[in-house]
Amino acid sequence: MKDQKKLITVNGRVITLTLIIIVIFIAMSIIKGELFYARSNIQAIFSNLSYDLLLACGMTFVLILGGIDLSVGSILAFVGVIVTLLLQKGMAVPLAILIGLSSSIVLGAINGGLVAKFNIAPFIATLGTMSILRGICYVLTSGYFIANLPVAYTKIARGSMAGIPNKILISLTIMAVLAVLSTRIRGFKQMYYVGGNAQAAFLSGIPVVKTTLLGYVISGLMAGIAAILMTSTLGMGQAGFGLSFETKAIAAAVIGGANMHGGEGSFLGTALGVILVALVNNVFIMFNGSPNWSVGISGIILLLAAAVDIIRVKSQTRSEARK
Amino acid sequence: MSLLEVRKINKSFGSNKVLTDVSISFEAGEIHSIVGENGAGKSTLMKIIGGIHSCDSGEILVDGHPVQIHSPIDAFKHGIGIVHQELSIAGNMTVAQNVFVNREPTNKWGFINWTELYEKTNAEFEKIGVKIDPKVPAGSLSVGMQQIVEIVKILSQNVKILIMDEPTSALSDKEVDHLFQLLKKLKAKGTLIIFISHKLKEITYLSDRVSVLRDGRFIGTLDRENMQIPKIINMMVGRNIDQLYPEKGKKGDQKEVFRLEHGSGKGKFTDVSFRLYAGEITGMFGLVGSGRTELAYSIFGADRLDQGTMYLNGEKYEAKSPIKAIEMGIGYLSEDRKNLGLFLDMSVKDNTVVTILQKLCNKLSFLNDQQAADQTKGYIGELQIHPEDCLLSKVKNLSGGNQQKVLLAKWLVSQPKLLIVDEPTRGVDVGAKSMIHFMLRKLADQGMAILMISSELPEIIGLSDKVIVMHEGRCKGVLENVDLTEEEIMTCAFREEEDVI
Repeated sequence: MKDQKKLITVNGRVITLTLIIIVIFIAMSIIKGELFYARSNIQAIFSNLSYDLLLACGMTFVLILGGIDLSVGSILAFVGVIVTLLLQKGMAVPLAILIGLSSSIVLGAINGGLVAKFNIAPFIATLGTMSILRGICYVLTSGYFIANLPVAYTKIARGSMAGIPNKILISLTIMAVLAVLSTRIRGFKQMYYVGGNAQAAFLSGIPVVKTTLLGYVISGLMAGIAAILMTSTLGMGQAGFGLSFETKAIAAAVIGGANMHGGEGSFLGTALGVILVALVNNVFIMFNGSPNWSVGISGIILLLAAAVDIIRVKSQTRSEARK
Repeated sequence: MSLLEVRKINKSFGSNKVLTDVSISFEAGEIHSIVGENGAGKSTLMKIIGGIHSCDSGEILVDGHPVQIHSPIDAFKHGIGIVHQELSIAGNMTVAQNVFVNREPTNKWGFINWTELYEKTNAEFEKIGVKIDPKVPAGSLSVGMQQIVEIVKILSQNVKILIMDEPTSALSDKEVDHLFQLLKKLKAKGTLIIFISHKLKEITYLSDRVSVLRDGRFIGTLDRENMQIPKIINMMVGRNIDQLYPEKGKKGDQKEVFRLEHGSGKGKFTDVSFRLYAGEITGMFGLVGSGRTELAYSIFGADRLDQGTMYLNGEKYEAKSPIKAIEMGIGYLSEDRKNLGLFLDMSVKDNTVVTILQKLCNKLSFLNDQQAADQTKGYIGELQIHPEDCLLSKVKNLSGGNQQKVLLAKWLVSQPKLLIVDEPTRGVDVGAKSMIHFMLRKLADQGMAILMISSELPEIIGLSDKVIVMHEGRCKGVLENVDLTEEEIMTCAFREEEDVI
């Protein structure tokens, strides 16, 4: 009986999110008509989705671990700047991408090391790396764009297959693979244990440090991939890329059911969370709100999601209080 | 007229009926224990009296008048206070601040009057004859003292009905003694004490009357003359448990599995040596603070030995990490199942197979879920974990006894050659306790070496083949358990250094 209940809550969230998304779609189509469902607008909604999907997916792992990664936006900017600088200097495209992705892995490992080895609170550790990396980006670029990238690079994300942009395909594929593997591969599964109860995990023979490292490395790598897709799409690198993307990623993951205290998270939920955040942003812009509001909206959504979560947990504990 | 009476209390959580027509009356100046297996409804009844839950139907009467209790504040108004199982002490605050939290004496500007606060705190402690410095942080006190602080905090609010929910589960014997003295004093002053515990020995020692609940129903009340443990158990489980402890093991061929020579660690234990044999349950008795858990951590690789040598199956063994220890065939069932043992929000299956994830993997490190489920189902059956279909249930939804069985299953599945169990039956009801005891004996009979750490003497004597007695970080002796008595063990624990050898 309890199993059923659990299934329903997991499905419940997915169903609720899907319904909300559908309702917004229908409502907007009625109110704004063509303006909303025009191809250009739908494309606008989906244009940023690929980056957000990747970051939110990495964030879901970190949240499952009971951590948080505030540095994803900065890693995105940093990797973007490095790769575009190397390309500008004439480096071969595959090599530049390889260096970019490797550096994102290293940065993720640094975050993970600070948290797991030095026991720095994840919030503080990644707040630190977030500022440092953003700072380095400004120094490297002196605030200028890095443009004039080779076509071989820009066509990676700009191309499309069967009418679907490459970048959407790439990020959806990565997300789907990770989601499927998340409970089936040992290294991933161990994250749920570490996030659920780190002490018990240690005493059960789970390699807590390695597992934590893996989570932050994935988060870093996702930001690295997003950086490639973004710079390739826009044809340039810039120190300001990815600003406050971490808020969107955290908001999406929490809406999707990731537990802020670790041990729980759903990748399907996170994906729906990403779509919802993008949609709400678009709705706001439709009603003549300025795009400048977008950062603020992610914050509001994040707080709302957290509040809903706390209410849910409270009502759950009340019904379980008989124990 | 009774000081407190509950009449025909009914309570359901959803479709789950937890209390059915429960009526009990309590008198002033008595210690009245409530016993029952986990899930019998004791805690729910107490929470209804304490205003944390409200009942679906029924009456609560204080001094013969029906009262409405909808919140803990209402309960306090009627003189009812609860000391919960989990203490609510703020460790960084002083004892005085804890006692008078939210009621600190203030001057007209709203600042705390510290002198008065300390004086009032001292006065409260004097009432019960305990000396304590009100200025020390409460977190620096022992668990036993913290509990006394909590009791004083409740008593200082003019409480005449004191409910204590399993107060002794985290206390050492000395602290328990201390607590009991205190309760008797309070009783003499006319306080009604309602006492909940799983330890029947305590209950028969302390109580004036015992009321038994089973499956949410009131079974009966026994007074002192009729308060025999077998009788209480009979009422609790509704059947006779003829044998509390399993038969002792047969003397085997004494194959040594583990040996520690002159082990010292962290200043918590010094120069400890002992051997563990296949097919034997070796009890390790020691009070809280005797260094036993630290010792277990060192064997299991969760801590390092500062000095000393360990041998596993005759070969030198270095405990580098729990991962290594598990590989070498050692298991450690931790004493605090909620914080150190279980993943409460994860399923019974996930909890059980955590120790064998590696074995469940293929070369690409894909987990074999079917195998995980099969293994877990086997243990759910063997250990009679309830409900039977709990494979995917979150562990936090199981009762304490069943949680403990899951914890045991988690170690059995790793098939250790040496299993260390640290307080294996703490906070577990009689039925589950007996089940765990028999299981441990069965494992030993199958050739496992078991080290059972416990501060419950009856358990040590009832189950062990040998007893290692620890006291203040030293091994005071290894006793063969042939008609061993509690007195012999305690004498051994407290004997002077010179007498050893």
